[in-house]
Amino acid sequence: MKIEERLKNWAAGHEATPGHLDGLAKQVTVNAARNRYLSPNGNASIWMPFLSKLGYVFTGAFVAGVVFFLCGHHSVSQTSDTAADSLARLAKPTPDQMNSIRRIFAETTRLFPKQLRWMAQSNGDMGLGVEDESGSPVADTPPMLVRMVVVSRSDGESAWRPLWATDVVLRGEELVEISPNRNSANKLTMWVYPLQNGRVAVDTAVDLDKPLKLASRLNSVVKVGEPSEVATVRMGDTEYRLFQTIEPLNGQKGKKI
Amino acid sequence: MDSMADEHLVRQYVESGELRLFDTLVRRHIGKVRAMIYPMVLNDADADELTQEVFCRVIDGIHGFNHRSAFATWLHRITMNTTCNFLKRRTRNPVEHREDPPDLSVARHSHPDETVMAREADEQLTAALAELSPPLRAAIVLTTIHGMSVREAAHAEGCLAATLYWRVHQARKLLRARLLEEGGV
Repeated sequence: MKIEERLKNWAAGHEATPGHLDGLAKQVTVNAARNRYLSPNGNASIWMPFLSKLGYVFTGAFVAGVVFFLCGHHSVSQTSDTAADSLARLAKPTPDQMNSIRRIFAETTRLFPKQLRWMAQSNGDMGLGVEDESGSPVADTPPMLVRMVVVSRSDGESAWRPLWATDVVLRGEELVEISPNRNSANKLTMWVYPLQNGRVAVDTAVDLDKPLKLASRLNSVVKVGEPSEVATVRMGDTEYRLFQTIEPLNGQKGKKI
Repeated sequence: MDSMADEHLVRQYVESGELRLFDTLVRRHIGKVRAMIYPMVLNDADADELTQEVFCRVIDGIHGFNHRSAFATWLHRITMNTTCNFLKRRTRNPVEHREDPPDLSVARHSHPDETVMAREADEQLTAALAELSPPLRAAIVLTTIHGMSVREAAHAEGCLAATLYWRVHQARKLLRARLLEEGGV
């Protein structure tokens, strides 16, 4: 057999399958979307999403409660559900940020119709939860933005510093479980359910490994657009606070319970 | 959208920024791009990574695309540049075939069925390609596997047509000699 023929046969035997190329193409587009979503100075890195597990049952008991566990022997105190001080501003997305997120989510949804379950950005990492085409279609429920922010301040300092921040856009009534940071074991579980009168039932679990170890769970009804101070933690001479804010992406109305 | 010419898609994408248009371009060309890269790097992981890198470069540079050549020609040039830069970075560790090494002793003497023989032939050719320098490998890959003319391949490689012709000639000679040693030609 001639070399030319052998080379062609060899190349044909090493061609990627259509499924493999489809996955690669998706990854390329995800990267392109990510690069737009992140700030130019962002430490961009893609992390592979793992999709929300379905079949989650919401018990219906909207019990406001927070369990905040800090690994190690640190003092932990619960705080009020609503923060009134200026710290809360760190947790609330600005109108410009909301517009940007709204635009990117709409564009990404057009790219992956009926497949995009969630979109997240966390400390420079970005991920999309795109369901396989063979998987169950994504519910056409209103998308919501959940922002979680950890801020810290050492004794004697007046200014608070944002330490960790994550934005997750997910659809109402969809359970989302994600690992938002590629280089850590951080995990988030979220479920939101829009109600009437600008309130949202929310069930979130945060399990952070970096930049600090903490775990918290919130099962509550909150007012949209109003940052909730989930908890305050003190470790040595540093105080940490965890905030959560929920905003409807499209300003839609909620449902009766 | 699928029937739009590449150049029209590029113009529309540059004007609107709609990722759907870029996605169409990606899906149209990703198979060819990866097929150009794989014979150069000879392993799937690097081929996938470089394929993504190529399209990252495309999206970064698409606003500067001047339409003086076809989009595919521009893309192939980026593909070969990206691949050659990668291979230069890997100069200290020349092309490795990362997949399982061939067990020729078993293949030659114990399992003379067609599957084993085909696998052996595949591995011989992979090893022979790995021994070629990147310029020689690129020359034979572009012309023989992808059917480009010497002029097109020279453009993708950024060299004179005469240089590329010489590289193809040398690559064929070396491949033939290597495969003869193995008893494969």
